[in-house]
Amino acid sequence: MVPPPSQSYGCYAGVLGEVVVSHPSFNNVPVAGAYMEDYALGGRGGGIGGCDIIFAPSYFGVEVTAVYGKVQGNSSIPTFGFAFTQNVPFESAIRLRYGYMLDQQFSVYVAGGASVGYMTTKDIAGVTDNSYRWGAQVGVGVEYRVTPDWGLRTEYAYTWPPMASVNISGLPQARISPTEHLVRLAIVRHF
Amino acid sequence: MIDTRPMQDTNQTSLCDRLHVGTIGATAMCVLVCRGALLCAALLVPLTTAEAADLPAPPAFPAQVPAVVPPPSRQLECYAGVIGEAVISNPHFDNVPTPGATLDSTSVGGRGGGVGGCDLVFAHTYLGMDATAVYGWTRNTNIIPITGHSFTVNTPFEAALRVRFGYMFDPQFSVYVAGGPSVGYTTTSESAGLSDVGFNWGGQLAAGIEYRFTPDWRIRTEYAFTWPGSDSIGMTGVPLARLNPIEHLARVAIIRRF
Repeated sequence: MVPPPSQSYGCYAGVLGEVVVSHPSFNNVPVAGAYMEDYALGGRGGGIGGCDIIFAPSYFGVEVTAVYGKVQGNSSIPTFGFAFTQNVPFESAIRLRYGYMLDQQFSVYVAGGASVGYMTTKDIAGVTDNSYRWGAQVGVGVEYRVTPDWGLRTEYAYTWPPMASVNISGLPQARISPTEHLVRLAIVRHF
Repeated sequence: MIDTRPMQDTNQTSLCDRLHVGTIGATAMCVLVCRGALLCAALLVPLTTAEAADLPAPPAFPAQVPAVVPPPSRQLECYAGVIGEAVISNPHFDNVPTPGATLDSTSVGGRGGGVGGCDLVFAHTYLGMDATAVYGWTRNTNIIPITGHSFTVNTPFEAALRVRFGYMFDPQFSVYVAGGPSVGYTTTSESAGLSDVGFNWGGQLAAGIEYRFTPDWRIRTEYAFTWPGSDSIGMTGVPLARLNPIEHLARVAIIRRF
């Protein structure tokens, strides 16, 4: 007799907040051939939702996050007449997630997938560049089931949009990669 | 689950015996009939009650145990100890000596300090946080091309706060991975006179083995990689110079649980 499948399905949705430390890296800025990095600190909030297939003691699923806020950074090199501001107010990701349950309440997981962020820039001459930039995101986290229906999740995630051109006056070869380190906290309701 | 069938069989067979059913086949027939007929069940009750004094005492019937959620199997363990590390540092320079150029160097050093943390210990795994702080010497001197100046980098102090996840092979041996933010105090100086000192934040990743040679004492060895990230530095004649003093660490720690 074939035993019934041991897996079950579960979905969830919740709210998400994140602290962002960003280190945008630049190529060919402030002069052709040079490499430099910027620094930005900010925060965003939004939502999270997903579904898991649960094979006790592990689970596998897909989830979506979308956050909005402010992650603004400024850099300037006066000797080169360079000043630049960037912000990534919106970011979203769709990720696969694999977790392992340490007991009935605690689990650890890894996640990874595609991300997209909306970045705005402005240089010293007032030239702007507003665009969506696709990249990737990986994360590791811990989830604690406060009750069978409610969970608390904390994770670290890293987002890296690849190097892409950016409009900076006088620097036609300028490129930027606004990488981010994220520390996240989410409250999710399982249904 | 409590199985009551043997007790019923015993009572019914005894009752059939007391009704003077002679043969084994007739006894079996009696049992089947008694099981199947409600009328017989009604008959059994008064007979059984009436002859209760003569019947052997029924086996003790376990009381119904209410469903209780078992307590979590995890327990909290905290520890503290001493740590020593050998450091191979590969300071990486960007835009040195000209924009777009890179320069790598190598230095070897050592540091010592303390480690402390707490774990939630599950059946075969544990999850926790630890903090390390070490002080020592990892000095590196380079001659910068073109300018000809000598440039020295040292990171005497480093600390990290990490999340740690481990898997226990048995009660003594376990392996783990750890990661989290780190901060190092880096000093630079050059023969032309410029210098920089400051704390650089970065990240640290590690993998290690832990052996508990007594229930309270353990020894831990790990490899860790620290990358502080690229920061601008003062270097005469190199206005866009940047430094990323990454490190490879081989660590040993002796730890006491409390």
